[in-house]
Amino acid sequence: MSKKQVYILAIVAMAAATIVEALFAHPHHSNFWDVTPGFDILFGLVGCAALIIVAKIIVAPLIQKDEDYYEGGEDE
Amino acid sequence: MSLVMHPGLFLILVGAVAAIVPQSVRKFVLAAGPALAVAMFFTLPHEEDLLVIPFINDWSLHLLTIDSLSWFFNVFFLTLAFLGGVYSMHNPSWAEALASMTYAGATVCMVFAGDWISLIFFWELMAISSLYLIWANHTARSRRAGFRYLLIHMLGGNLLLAGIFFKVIAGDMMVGNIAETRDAAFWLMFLAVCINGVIPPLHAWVADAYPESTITGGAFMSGLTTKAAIYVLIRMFAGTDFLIVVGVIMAIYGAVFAIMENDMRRLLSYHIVSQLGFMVAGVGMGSALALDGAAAHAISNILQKSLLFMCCGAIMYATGIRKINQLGGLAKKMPWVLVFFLAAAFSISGVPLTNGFVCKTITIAAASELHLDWVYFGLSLASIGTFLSITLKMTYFIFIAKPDKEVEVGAIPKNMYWAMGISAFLNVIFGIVPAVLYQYLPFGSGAVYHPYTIDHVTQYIQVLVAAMIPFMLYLPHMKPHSVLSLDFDWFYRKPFASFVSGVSHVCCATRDALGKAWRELYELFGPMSANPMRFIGRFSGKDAPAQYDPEKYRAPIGESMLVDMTILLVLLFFFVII
Repeated sequence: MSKKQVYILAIVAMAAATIVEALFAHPHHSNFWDVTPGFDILFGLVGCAALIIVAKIIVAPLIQKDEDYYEGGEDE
Repeated sequence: MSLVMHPGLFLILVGAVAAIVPQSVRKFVLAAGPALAVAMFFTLPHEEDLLVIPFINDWSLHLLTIDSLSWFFNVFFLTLAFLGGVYSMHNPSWAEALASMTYAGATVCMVFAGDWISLIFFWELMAISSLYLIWANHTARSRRAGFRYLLIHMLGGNLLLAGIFFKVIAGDMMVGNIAETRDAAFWLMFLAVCINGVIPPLHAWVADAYPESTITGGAFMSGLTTKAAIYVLIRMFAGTDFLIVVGVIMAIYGAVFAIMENDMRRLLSYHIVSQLGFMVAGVGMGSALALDGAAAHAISNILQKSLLFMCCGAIMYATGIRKINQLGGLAKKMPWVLVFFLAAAFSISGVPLTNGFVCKTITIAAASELHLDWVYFGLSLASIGTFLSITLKMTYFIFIAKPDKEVEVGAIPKNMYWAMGISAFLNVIFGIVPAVLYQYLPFGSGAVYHPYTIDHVTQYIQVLVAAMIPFMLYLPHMKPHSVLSLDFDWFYRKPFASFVSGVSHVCCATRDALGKAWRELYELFGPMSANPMRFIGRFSGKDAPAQYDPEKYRAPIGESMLVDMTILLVLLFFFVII
């Protein structure tokens, strides 16, 4: 499966879920994130991007060291 | 009722039997023993205090205190003992069989313990027996990691023991909720449970020790200690409000570290931290729905995490590789492992129709119910992290991506497939028929919570599918590298280790300096005592002889006798007169 097909499938799935949500869902709460159809798509996109940026681009360079940082040649 | 009828003690007995029988019999003992323990368990009543043994004075040991909470957890600890037993049938080591069954048995006994003394006994037994599952790897790394594991768990055990001393001195013998007390005993026990419950900054042992365990040992370890700590948290600390903040921090912290990790089982260990964050937050919220959420999440995590460890163990067994960046393209070579892995990965991410969906959503729903919006968003963010690091990252880089170097795959024993298969089935069955699980939820919210509503399902589909897009956009960044992420264990592996070696250097240097000074003194005065005349001669003006002969200077014995007798007579004289 190519990357493009995955994107298309993802968009179709999200659109279907949003339409079903808009038409049939009865949210338990009245917060705007509960009643806005498709809000969770935004949350998924932003949340996932934020996690990747924080982990791989901000935190990783600060705390990642060489693998034999503690005891070189531990495997001996 | 006899002691052997206790499923936990029976498991320990199974371990002892497995250790002494030959290998051809041992594999059947490892599968049939825990199966029998599960069967025995289901004959027990749901609510009773059986097996009360007089201990000392008027105190008794309550070895089999069954209530809805301990029953619920032990169903799954025993199931894990069975799955782990089947998974390790091929393992020829008698000592590992003994350690793993004792470990599982001790966990079951700890959960069933009704009094503090039994609790601490089995708590310590869990730590000791699981230690061997790390050391059994017989590598320098596992020896060191095991030693650190031992130290941190002995610290935890001693803290718990100290807290229990306070409780027992106050005449309180039974395990119960202590969330309201906030006294010394509370804090000591809380710290002990923080260590086993991997609450940062006391969590580093899990990512340090679990990746070094044996392949079969990992299947047990991933499910037992940490989830048993959640049981103790629910039992003793339900409603401790600050745990909500701690839980949300844990959930995100573990997720961030899992995204960075390269070692398969270390990644999963960080994931334990993240998943336990949900449960800790649930314990903090303390409502019936939240506590049921924590309990349900814990039992589904026992199944998910042990299956993930089993799959990674199978990959390590077949390829000898533990790092994600050296693997790739295994989908065609190990298709069944991929199927089982996906069952666990979907379940742990909370994909509908899996255990994860019906279990972890309870905690998030409880946060909504209590209007804790930041908890709701924090835990939902951590859910995305789970999906990202396990379902997307591990599946893609281990099974789908083209490897840098072709991976050679050997055969894995059939029993491993059986264990993974049964576990995969259990990972989805409650997702399909949640009522089976929900009727046993310990705080009774199974009747009021409904997971399969349209807004829940569409919400999860939207979040999870949307999360795939940033993953694909950042794919080059997601590729793991051969690096080490520093964590809180840095403090005891670097500065504290330097401090200890500094102190021992000072001690050694002091000892050496004292020894040297003593030697110099000896060398200074030694020659004088060898020939005192050389020393005395300086004052008397006589020349010292080259060789000192004591006989030459010794007075006749009569002279000294005369002096002695004179002194004695004088003393006697004064004694009589006065």
